[in-house]
Amino acid sequence: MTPAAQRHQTLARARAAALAECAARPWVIPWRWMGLGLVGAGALVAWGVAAALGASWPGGVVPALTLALLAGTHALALWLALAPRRTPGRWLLIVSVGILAMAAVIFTSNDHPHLPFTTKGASCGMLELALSVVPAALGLLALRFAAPSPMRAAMVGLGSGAVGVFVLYLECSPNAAHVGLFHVVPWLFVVGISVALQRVIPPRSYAP
Amino acid sequence: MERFVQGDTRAFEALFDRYGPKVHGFVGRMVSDASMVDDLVQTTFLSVVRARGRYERGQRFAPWIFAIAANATRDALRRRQRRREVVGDDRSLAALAAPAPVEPDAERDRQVSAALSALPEPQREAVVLHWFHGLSFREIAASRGTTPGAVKVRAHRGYERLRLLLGNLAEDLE
Repeated sequence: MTPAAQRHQTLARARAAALAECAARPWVIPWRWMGLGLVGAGALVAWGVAAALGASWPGGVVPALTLALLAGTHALALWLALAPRRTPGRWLLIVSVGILAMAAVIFTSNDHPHLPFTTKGASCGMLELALSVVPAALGLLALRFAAPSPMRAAMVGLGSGAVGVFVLYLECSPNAAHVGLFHVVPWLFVVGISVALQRVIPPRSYAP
Repeated sequence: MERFVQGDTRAFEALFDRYGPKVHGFVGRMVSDASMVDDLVQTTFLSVVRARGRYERGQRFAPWIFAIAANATRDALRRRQRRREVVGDDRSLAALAAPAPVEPDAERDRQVSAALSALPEPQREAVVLHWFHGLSFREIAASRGTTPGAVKVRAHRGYERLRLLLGNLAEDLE
């Protein structure tokens, strides 16, 4: 077969496949709607679980700022994970906000400084992981419409993990050692597992 | 593209007629395996259809579709490398020594293709998008999530290597 004939055949096959896909899925969800849905789902999970646990809103400026940082990390990380435009500056921004949020939850936790840091450790870790499942799963599914990127997957993990840490901050923040080991380390684990999972999930698209 | 996003399938067909051969040309310069080219062209256009919700209004279409083709190619090459198939410099150099085709232009194209496939993938991608498809360094950088400076360095190194590999043929490059 000549190169021209081969090219013609390749293009005809690609056109037929693309038109069949158009016919099968005539509608599409804009990425901004996906982003809003994702951030909203995380907020709903946090609000629902916090209400079910009877968590109370802490008084004072520092806890409020810490919670605002966690909420900001959640929204910003999930939004930027899906946003088509990628720039090193945006990644740097969200990584900085995430690190700041982690430092804030660790260093502002001082409700029971003399309590052994292992108290309720396993249940906190499990709750953190459980609360991250829904947002992380939705985020990774949404990421199938973009080219595989470890950084995007890490952002999904960072944003999803913030949901659990937010609820735990309302419910349990005895001291820095406990929060670091049983709240923040599982959060980092969620980031890592999101990156690992994305590598095995086949993408549906390679769009930026 | 905006008409296609709003559901006009004929607009997609017009886009395909215009960009199909260009995408084929890009992928053909990035990989030498014909069946892989076939798959990648199809994957690129399937991606355009599936991810049309990620297209931003007012965005230039050419850099967007070439970014998709480049991402798909990169992923396919990575997967192939993982499977440890024999590809890369050895085969490219062997291709340089292969018998000449009948058409004189085809001989030059073959030498350029072989030299291109001898480049590391990031350099090859930068050269092909910049030289053959006229994308700016800024557009290539935006599609890869890197800085224009980094793309410029890759392209420059690619051009240097091509000059060495192609000699007089490469005088027009860059």
